[in-house]
This record gives sequence, structure tokens and C-alpha cells, in this order.
Amino acid sequence: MNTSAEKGRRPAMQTVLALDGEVLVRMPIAEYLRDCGYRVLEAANTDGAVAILQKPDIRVDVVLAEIEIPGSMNGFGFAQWARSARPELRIILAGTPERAADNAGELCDQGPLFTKPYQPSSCWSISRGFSLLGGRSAKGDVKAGSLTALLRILPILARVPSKVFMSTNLAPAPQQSPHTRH
Amino acid sequence: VIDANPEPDVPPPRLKVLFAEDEVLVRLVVCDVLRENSFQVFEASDAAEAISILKATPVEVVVADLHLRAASDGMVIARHVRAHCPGVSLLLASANAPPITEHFDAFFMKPYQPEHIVMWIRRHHATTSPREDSSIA
Repeated sequence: MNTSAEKGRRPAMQTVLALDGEVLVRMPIAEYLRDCGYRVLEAANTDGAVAILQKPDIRVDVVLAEIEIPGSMNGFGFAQWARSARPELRIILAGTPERAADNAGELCDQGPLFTKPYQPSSCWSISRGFSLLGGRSAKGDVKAGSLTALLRILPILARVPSKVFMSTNLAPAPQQSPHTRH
Repeated sequence: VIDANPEPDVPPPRLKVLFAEDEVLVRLVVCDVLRENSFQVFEASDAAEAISILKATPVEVVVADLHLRAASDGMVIARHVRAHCPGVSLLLASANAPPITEHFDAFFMKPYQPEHIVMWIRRHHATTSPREDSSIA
């Protein structure tokens, strides 16, 4: 079991390294990005992220990290190290879970949305999230997902109870429509 | 009876697997293999993360390294699964001998091949296996 298996595996797939010390923030964001078509690697602290980036055969295109990340470096220190280790890397720092979710939404707006092994389930789950929350359910609306929409979708994608998700200091979801069902 | 409003393109449910392993490169490789086999995989780097995930979302299979950051982390996960997650398959892994005090469904001696975990899950979750046409012998 080694990372040599990386070589030749899905070479065209854009890879995001999601770096967040709070698993109930990291998990739904990672799942959301996977549904958007990214390959997502997860690290709970900067030491894990450094271990990944030190392996040149592991492709990473984007790092999505929180600033107050556990580990021997904070987010700024890690970003400085990562830029020197991999100058081509795109690094996105988030100061809050809201910003991290917003960054993920922007990545999906710009990224390989459903361009690689396409799974109808991805589109279905997101569009159903809109539908359940009283939003628009047309598949084409997914790219219009703003932070507000993303925050409303993420708990559904991850099936995380709202009270659990809210405990991570995410902003309150906007007022639900009368058609909202739970 | 004809359903006038069938759910369009509803995908079959994917088997959910929680994989708890503190070594990030091991976690990366094994989770890649599990996802390539169509499982939905949640990653935990320690027992606290694993239990947070288990409290937040149901899974069918838990794979836990016995020796995470704290020596007994894997046992903490195992006890939580047995106490609070009935029906969940519990797979343990370690470079040392399997535990004799905890009930588990399978044990994998490190280093193991990730495909062996895939085969075990397929064999024991045949009715909910996401891909019946397994290419693994």
C-alpha cells in the first residue's frame, strides 16, 4: 500500500485538498466538492497536508484551508510553505466556516462541474436539496448556488442535523419558504 | 397504481463507509480504492472525528485502525459502534495482534491490500452492494 498507485490514476481529475480541523465542516464541504466533480483529499491538520504535498506523485491543484487550522503551522504559515513547495498550487484560505463554504461554492462555479465520470446522483442530490428547501429544482440552477444556497444544501448532502451543523458557528439559514419540508 | 410524480433519475443508494485512520497517506490510498468501488466514504483522523461523524450520519460499515493518535483510539471507536450503532459492520486493522476483548466482524493485519476490505464489504453486504459486477476475484 503506497502512493505509487497515484500514478496514472484519473490523471485529468482536478484535485482539491480540503484542510479543516472540524470534521463536521470538512466532511460536507468535501462531499459537496466531490459531487461537483472534484477529487478531494482531506487533512485534519497542517501536518497531514504537508505529508500529502511532500509526495510529488500526488496531484493537488487547489488547497482549500481554514486559517485557524490545527498543526505545527497555522493557515498563513502553511500557505507560505505550500507556495514554496508547489508554486503552481492555488491556495484558498478561509477565515470562517461560512467563507470555506463560499469558497467551495465558487470552486464548483469555476471547476469541472460534472465533467468527469458523470454521476446522475450528484446532480440529483443537489437539485433535490434545492427542492426540499423550497428553492428552484432545475438542474441548471446548481451553478447559481450562492453561499446562502450552499449553506442550505450542505446539511442535506451530508445528512447532518441542522443543530449539529449550526454548532460550528455557521450563519443561520435564511427564512425557509412555506413549502419547505423536513 | 401509477405514481404521477415519480422521482426523476433517483440513484440507487451507495453503501456508506466510515474509515478512521490517522496516517493521512494510508487514509488517502484506502479511501481512493473504496470510492473507486462506488462506496460513499467518510474520513476520520481520530476517534473524536469518527464518533462525531457517527452521531451525524448513519453508515453501514466502520473501518478503524486500532492504534490512532492515542493507543486505544480504535477501541474507543469499536465500543461506540457496538454500543450505539446496531447492525453496523465493524472492521478493525492493526499491525499488531487483533484485540481479544472487543467483538468485531473482521480484522485486517497491516499492511493490508485495500481491495481486501472491498471484497469483505461486497461479500457481507451483497444485497446493498453498489456494484454487483465485481471485477475483483
